[in-house]
Amino acid sequence: MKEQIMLKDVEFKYLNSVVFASINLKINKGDYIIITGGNGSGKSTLLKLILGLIKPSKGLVKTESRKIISANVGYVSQSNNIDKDFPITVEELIHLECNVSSKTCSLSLKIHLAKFNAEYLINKKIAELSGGELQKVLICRALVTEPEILILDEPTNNLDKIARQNLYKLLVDLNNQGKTIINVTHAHDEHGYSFKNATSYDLINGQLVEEVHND
Amino acid sequence: MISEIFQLEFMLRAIYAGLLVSLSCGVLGVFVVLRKQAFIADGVAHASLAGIAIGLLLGSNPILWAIAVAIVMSILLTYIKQNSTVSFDSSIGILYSFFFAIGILVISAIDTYKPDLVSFLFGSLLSITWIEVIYALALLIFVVIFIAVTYSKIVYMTFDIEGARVRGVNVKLLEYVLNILVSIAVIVSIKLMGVVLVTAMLVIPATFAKLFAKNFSQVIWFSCIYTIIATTLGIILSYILDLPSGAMVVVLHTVLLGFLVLMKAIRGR
Repeated sequence: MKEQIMLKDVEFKYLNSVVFASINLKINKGDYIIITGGNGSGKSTLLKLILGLIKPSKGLVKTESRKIISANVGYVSQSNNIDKDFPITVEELIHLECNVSSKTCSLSLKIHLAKFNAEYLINKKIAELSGGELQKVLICRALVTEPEILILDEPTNNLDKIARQNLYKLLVDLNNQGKTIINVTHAHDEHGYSFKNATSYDLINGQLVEEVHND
Repeated sequence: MISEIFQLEFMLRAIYAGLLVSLSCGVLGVFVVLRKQAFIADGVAHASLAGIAIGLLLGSNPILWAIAVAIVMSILLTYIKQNSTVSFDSSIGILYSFFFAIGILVISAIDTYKPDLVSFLFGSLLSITWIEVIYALALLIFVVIFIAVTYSKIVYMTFDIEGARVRGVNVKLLEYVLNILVSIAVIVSIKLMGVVLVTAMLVIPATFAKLFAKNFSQVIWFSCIYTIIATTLGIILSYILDLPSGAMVVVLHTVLLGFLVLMKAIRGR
């Protein structure tokens, strides 16, 4: 199977210190990839390399399309990168993401918010949201365009137990639909959910180590 | 008294120029404030002294020279922001000190008294010409077209620059154009407001709008309506009381903001 995303001998340096020495990773369509690692291990940096937001110092980041940025990608960034004082409503924020009519976009937003029992958020300002509510909105933002590839950076941050369960049920559904999912997280939250083509990696000392599961 | 004001050509010029530049600043200020880059206006205004001084020295239009310096400064600032780890505030501080120093050196080479220089520093109603009204109109047209064409992209970039890049927004180009337009708006406002006070035109209306708007589509409208009222009242009062226009406009902007914030706080109790 032709890989959708490939990282070959990727090295990344920041301020002359090596973050990644030699990363190799192949991701095929429909894969569910989990990348774990401690604080400062470079998980978010790895996602930014995959997204093309930063360039590797050495090596190759290759995607199915010429640039993954222009492909249909849904990206859930960490909510602490978001300006919570920004005077924008949830609906307005989602409309920025959509390429379709505003009516279709609003409908899609309502459907996705409903998966988190959070339809009531649609007319709220971002400043009025709790951390967990904002996280739900950011997840819905990534989903409204029905992306082929979903990239999540600590998606369970600020989510309560029920919201985490709803998220993983949603990810299982998307995985069953053949969507590619890359989930970067502090720890494994996905126990009890069965994903197809799942591979777990641990990012240790700048190396991506595949985890072997006995279950 | 009021009807007399509208029969004086220099007052009409000042009011037209004031309304046009305040609208440009009202729109652009929203993005400046939300991007937390208010210092850019102050920096560009002070740096423009170099252009004004060169214009006065050469006997050519100081505003055009100031616009040239402002464009160079905004391009340098944007380049440094996008290609280095130097903070935006630090690069503004470095560049504006440099250009301001150049301005002082050039002024010291001018051996005659230049009354124009005072009007650039503190603003002057009397010194506004029709050509400057046309500059202000041209700027407003550019600003409106730019915002209308790039609206969703520029709002996305302002809210979440990384998310905008993932969505394929050409953030680098947008930042250059936005910073250049802000710099030009600052310079075009200088004749009315003066180098020292011009920042208020960008910051205060947008701050009001951010505090009071219920959604983003209201923010730009609130900012524009607020600045139209405060600028017009400021110019008229400056004539009636025979006080400097720039200072009067800033006082009106600030007092109105303070009053409205106080009212909001009282009603919120």
